[in-house]
Amino acid sequence: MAHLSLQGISKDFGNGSFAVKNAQLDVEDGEFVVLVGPSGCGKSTLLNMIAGLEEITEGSLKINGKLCNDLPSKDRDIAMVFQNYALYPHMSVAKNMAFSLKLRKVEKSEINRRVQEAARVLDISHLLDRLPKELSGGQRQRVAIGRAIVRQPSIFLFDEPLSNLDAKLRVQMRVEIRDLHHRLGVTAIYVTHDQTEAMTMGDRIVVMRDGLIQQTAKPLEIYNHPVNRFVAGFIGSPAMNFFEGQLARTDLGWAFHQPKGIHLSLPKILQAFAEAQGEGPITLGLRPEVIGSAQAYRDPNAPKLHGKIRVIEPLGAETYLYCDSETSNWTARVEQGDWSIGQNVALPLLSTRLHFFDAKTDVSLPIEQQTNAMATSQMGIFNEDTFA
Amino acid sequence: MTVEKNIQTQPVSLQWPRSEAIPRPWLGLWRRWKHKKLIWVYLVLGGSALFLALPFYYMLVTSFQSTADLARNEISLWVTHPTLDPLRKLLDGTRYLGAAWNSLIIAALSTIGNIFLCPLAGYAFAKHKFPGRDQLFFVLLSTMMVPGAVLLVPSFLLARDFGWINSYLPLIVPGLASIFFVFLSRQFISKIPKDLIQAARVDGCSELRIYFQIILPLCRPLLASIGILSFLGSWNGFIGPMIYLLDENKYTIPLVISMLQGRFGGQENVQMAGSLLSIVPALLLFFIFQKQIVSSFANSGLKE
Repeated sequence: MAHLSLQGISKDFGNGSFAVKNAQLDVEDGEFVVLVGPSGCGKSTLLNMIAGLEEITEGSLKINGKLCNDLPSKDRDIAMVFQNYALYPHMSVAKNMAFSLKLRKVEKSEINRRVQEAARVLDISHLLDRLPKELSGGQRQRVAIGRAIVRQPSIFLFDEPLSNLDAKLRVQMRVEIRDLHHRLGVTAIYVTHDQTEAMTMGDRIVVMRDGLIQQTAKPLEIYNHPVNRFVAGFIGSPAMNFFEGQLARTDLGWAFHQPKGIHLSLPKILQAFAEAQGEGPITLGLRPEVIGSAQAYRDPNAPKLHGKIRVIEPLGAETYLYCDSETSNWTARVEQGDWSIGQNVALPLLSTRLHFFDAKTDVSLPIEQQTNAMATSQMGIFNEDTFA
Repeated sequence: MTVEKNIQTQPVSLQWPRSEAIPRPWLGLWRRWKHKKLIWVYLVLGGSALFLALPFYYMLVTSFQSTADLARNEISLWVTHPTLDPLRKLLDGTRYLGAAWNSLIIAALSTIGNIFLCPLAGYAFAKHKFPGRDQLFFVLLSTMMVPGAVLLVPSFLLARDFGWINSYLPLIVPGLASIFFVFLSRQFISKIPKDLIQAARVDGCSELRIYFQIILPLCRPLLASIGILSFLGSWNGFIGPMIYLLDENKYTIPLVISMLQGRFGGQENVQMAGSLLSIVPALLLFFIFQKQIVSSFANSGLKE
């Protein structure tokens, strides 16, 4: 159990390029924090710096209040699970798990006890005498986790541990790791590029991009209130739809307008917000589930989004429609139905969940809470054919 | 319908008697052989193998022929009266066993040195970052372009200045860390995933322990290649011993074999017995490490 604190951590490669810049993060005791971002965003570098495998150029790293910048990995009381398992190929499963304890000169009986216990927890007791090459991917992953468990570290570090597993096993291991974390209650930092893993596993999510932390918050907070267009687009699957247009003053008040595209009169509650913004470019964000959902269909006055179906992805419980309209391509998450490619559709919008972003800075404009507050009562404000 | 069809087609098939009727057992074998298309490949490979094996066979046969038989048949591929006389003459009349011992010492020390030092250097080049690493490696590699003969005189002068003439040192020390083996090691070790080393570091290994307990055990095929190549190179070395060794007691096997021509001129059987004995260690090494050698040459550079 440990508290981890990163203050202004940076990694400079010396030629002016930063892998991580000014990272601030406090991880509480027993918390499960997920670092997520696209490839090359610096999440693995940040994890390696916490592990002591990469030098920290600037800032301070504290574990339980103790400055650890220059402490070797072995003295940081951490254990790490690697993407490709990193099991020692020439050692049996038991020896792999016992290796770190042997180095620490733990008594043989104690080593045996801990290895047996970890093997029992992970259900790999029958594999202890095998070599890693005789194991399946899932079993190897369990052994890698077992090797971390026997150490009884204060912090667990996971570096994309599930990315080499097939989809079904990944879901299973995801649940098992989360379950294990609940049982052991150890602080854990988990790196992934998969936003689904991040959403389902993390107590808190840290979204990174180009070495910078974009947002640190609980999963639903990030989903509902992304701080910028990048976070909004990265978290959520399928990704949020963005429509670039203008805020324009019309006879009926303020509206979101795309030349030859969408024209959406803004609800009353947003008039003040629009007034403050003034006329000019703005980006509208719509989650796929907002378009064509059952709830939206129930509202006869819901504005409609017109488009032509390009691709259909039936997933069983729901269907993803990838549609083209004159000015933009968008995705809708709808219920099963009689959809066909090339079909012209007019899907109703759940207009209670809109996101607006500054067209220049991509920063989220804080209107959502106000919109939510007015929710249903304001839906009538959208004209029937405002979306064309 | 089906029955009728069968009845109709039966006489037609009878017009073509099946080949089993004629007793030709090899035909059955030929039919069952699955790799017919490869027949030319087998013929060429088999022919080449025979061609290569012929000198060894001739050496083997001649080694057991008496001098009298040898005189009668100029080139014989059969032993009519096998005898151990040539072997006896060789062992009694020359310092062959002493030379074998000398060769063994030199080859063993060179091999141990190469096995110890080359993977160590290869590990540093493959997995550690230090200023000028790639430049240094390039310089080392470029020395491989220099022909050995060019280095002969400077090496001799250097050995003379060190006072190493007539000792084994110039035969062992300069070859202790062969550039070729360093290169081979670097290629092999660079294929070992970085994560293994990092995992060991997190587990609490020191740098040396990482090398000896994690890297080295994974390098068995590499060590086998280095061992075999280094041993054979040293065991068969002729120019070096000829230049540096003056005292006959210190001579190595290739030198003794070369002297057989003078001492046993016309007695090819003794010369061949000397050659035959000299390949025994190489054969032994090959049989012992056969599996490792094949896998190391096949995947040289690939991790297990």
